[in-house]
Amino acid sequence: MKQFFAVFEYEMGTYLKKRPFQIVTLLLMVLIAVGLTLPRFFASSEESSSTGLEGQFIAVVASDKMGVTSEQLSAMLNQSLGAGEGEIFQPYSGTREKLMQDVEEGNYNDGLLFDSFLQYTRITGTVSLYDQFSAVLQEVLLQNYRAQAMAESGMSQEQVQQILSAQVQETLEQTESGKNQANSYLFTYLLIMLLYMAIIFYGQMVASSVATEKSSRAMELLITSARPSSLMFGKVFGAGCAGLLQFVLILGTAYGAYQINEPYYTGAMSVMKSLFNLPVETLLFALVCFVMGFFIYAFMFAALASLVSRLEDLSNVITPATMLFVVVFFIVIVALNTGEVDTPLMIACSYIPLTSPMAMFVRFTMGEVAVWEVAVSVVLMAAGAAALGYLGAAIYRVGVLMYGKPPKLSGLFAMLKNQQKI
Amino acid sequence: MQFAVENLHKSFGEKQVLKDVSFSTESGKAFGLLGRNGAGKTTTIRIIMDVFPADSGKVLLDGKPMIREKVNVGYLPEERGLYPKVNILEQLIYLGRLRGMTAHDAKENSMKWLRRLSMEEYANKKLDTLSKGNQQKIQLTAALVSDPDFVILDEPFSGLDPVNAMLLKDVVRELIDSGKIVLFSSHQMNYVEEFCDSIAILHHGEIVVSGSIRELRRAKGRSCWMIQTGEAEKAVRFCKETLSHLVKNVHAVKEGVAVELLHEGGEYELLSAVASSGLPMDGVQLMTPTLNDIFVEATTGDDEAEGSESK
Repeated sequence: MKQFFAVFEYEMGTYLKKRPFQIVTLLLMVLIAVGLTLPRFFASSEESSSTGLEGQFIAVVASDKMGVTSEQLSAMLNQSLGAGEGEIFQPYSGTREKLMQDVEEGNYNDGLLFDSFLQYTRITGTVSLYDQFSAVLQEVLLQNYRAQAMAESGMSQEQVQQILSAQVQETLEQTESGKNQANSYLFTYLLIMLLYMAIIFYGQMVASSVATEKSSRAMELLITSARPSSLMFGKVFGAGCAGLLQFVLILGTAYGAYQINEPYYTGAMSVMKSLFNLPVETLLFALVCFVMGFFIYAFMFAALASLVSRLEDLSNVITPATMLFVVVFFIVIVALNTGEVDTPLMIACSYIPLTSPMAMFVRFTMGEVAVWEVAVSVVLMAAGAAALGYLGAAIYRVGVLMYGKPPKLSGLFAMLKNQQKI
Repeated sequence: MQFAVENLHKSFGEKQVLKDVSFSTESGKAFGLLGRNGAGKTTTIRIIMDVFPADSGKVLLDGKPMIREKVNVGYLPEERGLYPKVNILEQLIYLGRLRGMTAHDAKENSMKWLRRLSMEEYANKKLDTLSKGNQQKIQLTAALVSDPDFVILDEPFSGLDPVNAMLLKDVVRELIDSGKIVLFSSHQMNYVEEFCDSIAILHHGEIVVSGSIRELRRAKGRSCWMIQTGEAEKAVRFCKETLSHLVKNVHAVKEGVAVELLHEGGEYELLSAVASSGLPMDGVQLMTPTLNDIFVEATTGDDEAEGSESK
């Protein structure tokens, strides 16, 4: 145990003292803090208007048969959409061709040629992917038309208001295991991405640390100074804790930055709220999946890395494990994007320790799983991690003294049989 | 302390690497484990270090099976290696801690040994910035950082300049004098001869010669003689033709002809035969064999057989 802690401390210290590790951590913290503070600046300018039309000039031409002049129509639109911010909609008296030219030259952002209240031509340049103008305008026109029609049929102003402002109220009641995928999607997606990156990143960190010890032949001295299992477990736990610390720092920064700027997360940005107000059980289960997933893959990476004698060969032996993980990632992402997270494939994946940290997490947040199913999956993950730890230590013990070409799988098992002692 | 290995056997797959290897030594003595490349020295050392177990046989300390964790062993492996990119003092402390020391003691001891080897100025350098000889000294510090009772030095002198070799000699001498068990493995027979009281020579996984160097030399010592003569060719012919019942291994050397007696006490017959032969002769002299001679003879015996095998 003393040896384990010595290895653990040394490994963790080595990671924390590495310049690249420090720089990456700091950089990510700064980027996230800055990123999460940005809404403060956007929100302050957005607050004045919700239509996004401020500073624009829109030419309005009313047809003669409408019974209103271009001036009256512009005034009406300014009142409904301009929110008093100067004259966005301006009456225009030129021809259609002239208007086209004016828009082309940038004198106006848009031009509107009305035939009636329900029919108009919009003259504009590029229509943005996020263009909302037409929808907003149509809503205003429609409201206006309905109000007018109802007033004409003899309804009072109040009645008209009541009808137009009527809303349907829904009360949502879900079964216990039911989820609202719309709410869960964003944070699930984000956490899965984080899980994927963390496991690949920290797993490879362990692998390259083992391979470095072998290629520098420090292994010969280490293996004669400490038990191989202490070396491997100390290394994996050391990397895990360094990783966890890095994670806590980065996510802590994110949470802090969000808390400070929370009042500014309004409108479209309010989706961010779902990220920072995760249910406690989701957070805890995410932590379990991170830790288990890390151990399962880190043990595998450490054992595989112990088989190579040169750093150049490292990628060859760990690629199969990485590929497996990438495939799992894709299965899970597809399930997440289609919303069908309880398919037979996903159910199977959520019990196999190599795949369950991701698959079960997605089913937990997006699908219907009972508590016992989660419990069984966690127990299997833990058992899988323990088994891989044991097997990993056995391979590690044989692998660390093996120099030359990495062995074939069959040769490896033959060697393991020869050396049962760990 | 008494240290012994008894009847070690080890195979890797089909290949038998060690066959019935036994030897013993004690505190305050240096023991030389010799052998050509691939003879099984490193395997023997790794079994002693409990990196892997022997198929059969025992490693004994004071007559009881040695429990590796309870014995403070320092090891200088032939394949040198430490962390190239890590601060030297830091990795020495780490190795000390792996062997059960506290961080504080490990640091003190590291500095003590660095000073002893005149390396303290490099304590906070990275290993790969040092010259090969200095890296070698750091490697030795790593072996000694825990003040081991049992020191295994595999080729400790390779790569050292004469001044550093002298420094290392002093250190090894101190280790021996302070009552450590020193297990020495080297191809440089002059060093082995200088330090070791006893040796064992491994050849193809078997011990072919073992015992105290003095006795080995003495046993061999009275059988090798040199006939000092200016006419080596004639003398060789004479020995081969007339004295084949008396001597073997007749060969010309720098100052005459070397022969090995077939029987103990044959030197008188040799003397009178040579004296009456009429050869121009300066004298007949006893040849004391060097360890090198013993080593070469012990490990070249079946080379031809080996050669044909590999074809």
